[in-house]
Amino acid sequence: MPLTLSVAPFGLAYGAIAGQHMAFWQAQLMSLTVFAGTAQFIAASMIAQGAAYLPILLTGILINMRLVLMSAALTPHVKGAPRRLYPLIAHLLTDESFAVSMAEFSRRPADPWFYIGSGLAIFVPWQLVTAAGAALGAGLPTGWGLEYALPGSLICLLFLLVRDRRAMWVSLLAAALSLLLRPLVSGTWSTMAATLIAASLGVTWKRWPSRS
Amino acid sequence: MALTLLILGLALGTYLLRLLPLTALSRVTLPAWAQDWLGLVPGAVLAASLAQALLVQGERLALSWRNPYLLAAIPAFLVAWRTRNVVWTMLAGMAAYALVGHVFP
Repeated sequence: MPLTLSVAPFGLAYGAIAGQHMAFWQAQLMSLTVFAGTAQFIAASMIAQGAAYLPILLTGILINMRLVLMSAALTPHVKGAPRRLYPLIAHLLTDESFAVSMAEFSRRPADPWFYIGSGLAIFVPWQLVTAAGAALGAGLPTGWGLEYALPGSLICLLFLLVRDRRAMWVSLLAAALSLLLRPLVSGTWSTMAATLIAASLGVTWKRWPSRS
Repeated sequence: MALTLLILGLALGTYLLRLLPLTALSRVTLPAWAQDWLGLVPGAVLAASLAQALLVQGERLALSWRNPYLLAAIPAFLVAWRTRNVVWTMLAGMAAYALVGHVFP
């Protein structure tokens, strides 16, 4: 239940933003099929900025590449499930369902049904709140600062994602590079180029012997 | 139509990222640096995207203190820091942005 409540603000915010830049059913199609909060926000953000579709696609996949790690870590814990459920198990994988399930399986034997339950406890409300967000967003008149719904949400997501000093520096570097690279790399490719460089430097920084 | 295809493309890519380790690649492990790198990516993308949203207006850098996007970011950062709630942060930013629009029309 707390899990369900925790996704509500994100779903509302995503729905309100996506509803401004694409058809209602497209915003909902993204919730149903992509079902990954951060990537959905970034895709909506890049669509709003008029980005070309190829960089949007590649940036979204770049963000979601961490799902490979979670999927690999989850695999031994769902071995007991029938194979025909694997497509469902895969689709329900999110940061939240992964975190809750792994915490639970550290205390008791792995149970694929617990994981599927936690996934559904996010999937179903996610669909409802993104639809509600789109309806609310469409109802707000102009002049209420709706242009700021997107930057405002990104600011909060950034706060939630950046948990240590190194991640903070990597993010600042990515922000600065994305602006500096604009004249060199056409349009929205700069976001991706900046991310690749900043994350790579961040990895190097950790390996620096004189740092912690 | 193109947008629908983009959404479905992103969905397919994301689905394969979720499914392949579970089925085909369950014995593959990534080196520690690659895992570390993947962990840093979402924050970096968000920050770069936010920088574009705040500081690029009509294809040009807008570093002036009268840039309403930048001014509204101040209360939004404060609310994000205090509440960690995306709806409150969004509403604070929207209110500040609307207000700035009235002060500096």
